[in-house]
Amino acid sequence: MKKVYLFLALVATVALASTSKIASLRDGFMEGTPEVKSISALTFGPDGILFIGDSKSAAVFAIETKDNQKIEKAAAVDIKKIDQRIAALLGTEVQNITIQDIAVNPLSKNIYCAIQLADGTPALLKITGDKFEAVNLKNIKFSSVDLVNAPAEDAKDQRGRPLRGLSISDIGFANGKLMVSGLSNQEFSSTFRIIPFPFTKQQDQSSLEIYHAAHKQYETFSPIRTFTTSEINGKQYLIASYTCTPLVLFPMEDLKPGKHVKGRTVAEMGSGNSPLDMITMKSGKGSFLLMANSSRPVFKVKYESIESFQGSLTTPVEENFATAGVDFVSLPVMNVLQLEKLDESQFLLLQRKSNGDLDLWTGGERYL
Amino acid sequence: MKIIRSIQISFLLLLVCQACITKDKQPSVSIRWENERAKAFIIEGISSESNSSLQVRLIKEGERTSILGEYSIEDNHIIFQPIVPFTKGLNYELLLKDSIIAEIQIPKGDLSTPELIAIYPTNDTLPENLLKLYFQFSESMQEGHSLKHITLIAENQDTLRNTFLDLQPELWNADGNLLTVWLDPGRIKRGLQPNLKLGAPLVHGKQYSLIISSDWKSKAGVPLKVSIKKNFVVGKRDELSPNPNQWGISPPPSKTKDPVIIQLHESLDYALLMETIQIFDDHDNAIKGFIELDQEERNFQFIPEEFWNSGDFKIRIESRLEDLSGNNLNRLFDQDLTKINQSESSEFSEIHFSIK
Repeated sequence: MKKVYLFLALVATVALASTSKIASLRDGFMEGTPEVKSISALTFGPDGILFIGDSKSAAVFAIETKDNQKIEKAAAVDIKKIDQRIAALLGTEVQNITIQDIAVNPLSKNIYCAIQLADGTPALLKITGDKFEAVNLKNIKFSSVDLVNAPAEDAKDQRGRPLRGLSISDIGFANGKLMVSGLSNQEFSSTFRIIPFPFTKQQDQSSLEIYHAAHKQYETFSPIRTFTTSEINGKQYLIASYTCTPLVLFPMEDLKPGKHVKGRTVAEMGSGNSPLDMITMKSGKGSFLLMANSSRPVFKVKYESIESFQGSLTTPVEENFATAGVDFVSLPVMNVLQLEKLDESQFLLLQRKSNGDLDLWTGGERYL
Repeated sequence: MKIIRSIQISFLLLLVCQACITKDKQPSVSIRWENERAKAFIIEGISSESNSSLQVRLIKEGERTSILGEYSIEDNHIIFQPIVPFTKGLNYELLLKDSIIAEIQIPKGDLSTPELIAIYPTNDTLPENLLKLYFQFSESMQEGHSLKHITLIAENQDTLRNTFLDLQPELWNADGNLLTVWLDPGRIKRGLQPNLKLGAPLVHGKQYSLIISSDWKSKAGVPLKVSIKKNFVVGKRDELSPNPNQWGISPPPSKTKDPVIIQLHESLDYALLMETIQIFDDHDNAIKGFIELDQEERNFQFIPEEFWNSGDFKIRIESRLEDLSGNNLNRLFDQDLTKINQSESSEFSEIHFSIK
């Protein structure tokens, strides 16, 4: 009998603990309509909380989607001409829309798709199987954090036009922290921020000075274009690609406010090419980094190779258009604009096909 | 037999619809405009309970697609607001229980023609390691496909590829009328593979033409008046940081609103010049005024709102001010570590002048 009571007490404690944990995630949430001016990047946090990177407002919004029913395995998705489908559902033409980002809710496996119209209007859609619906952003629970401290007197030119702009190139969530990489429309610098979540009013963000060293000779500031996180040799790493192509590693523990951080270059992914998106996937054969590129196929890099590639890349690559550093495999898929993990064994690819169609489809074990 | 059945169904639908339409008014649809955008349909003459039977469809190339949006009731009218505004020039239809009750074309309206006001730097000689270009338009432009409208031609014959960095989202200011385009930094940074293999995007001594296509449309959907061509030649690399201590200052006389003129002796970054320089009096009060740049962004003029008093003034320059090659007051765009002489980096530089 005692045992039963003890068991019940334990269950109650665990339940209480998990409720309070979930409640504390929403600290600072308010009810209302967030003023989202643009949707540049999306990522999911815990318990169905969606982060929206808004370049126009230079802010990130955390929104309650209430989409938190867990399923283990997602159904494969195959949506042909997704851009045309979305344009028609929005009542417009395909040349008026750009798909800015795609995120998968890790609990429900529903797909969230950020759209920007040519006139700047943002739209957020949820895709469940073959069904598209608008994500409600009115009268919801949300919180937000500003990414720049607005100058005392907003900078304007002599005709009173504001000049400043920030472009959020990627956002990610790991270990209770939101990571945001941004590009300025003015100075060439890195604005990589690590922001604890839940957001607080206090500006507790670390803004990093990230440098890139080429062959131990030249050093420059380097804006990060896309990134992911992974564990390598039991240590948490940020794996990032710069606007100027190298793939670099940073130990997460080194990313401290105000520090001059230099990434370890593990590969250069080829001249005339620009990495667009990257994800981490696992299969029975190991753990992989998948990377979409502007003018190359999707690359697959084994984390084991990254682990064994110690030291920085120091010798220039001789052959034209060759790549250097860790070994990687080119998958037979070209013109992939977005990659996103769908579940433990599947990932989404947004691909411009050779006939010009833009398709969203699912890759699985055979690529891993 | 089939034909008869379909006629019967149509007749039935018509009866159902008649029941939804209010007695005193025929159904009509008007467009609600906000900031020159067609935001919603105002549907009158239909009972407010029928909104669950309504559907708005886009008509395009014979296809009809029901569009996403929400219905609400205002002053006994039904409002349909699509999740993004209706597109000018396109046709839509309103259905009640599968019967078309209205067809609506969104008028294009009387719209102004956008213009490309300036391309910065305005110089006709640019450094080999030029980092960025700014395009200033008269109004907000369509975003997302900008590089399709920008072509760079070398020596009047070769269209260059992989010169500009294709970024999504693109680098627009908040108003959407100033676009920043980077020349591929991987090709400018010495020692990186793209630089070693493809070389710098621009080559010393060569002539180039930058062509902006007239297909580029404003957010309202109106294309540029004309295509624009900017010719320039490429000079040598700029490997020096801007140095405010070498700038010349021409102070204005007191009791005037004449500009204080700063001779920068080189062209600096347009957007940063407009934002990183402030003038303070000897009590540390910022002077309010306007900035004008001339002589290819080599001259910085500050025109005060109020008359100048005599006294000592300081010009505070944020260190993030860059030249055309991304070198700022603290550091070079790519620092040669073998030759480096680490200097102290500071947030500001200050220079002084007096007005008599």
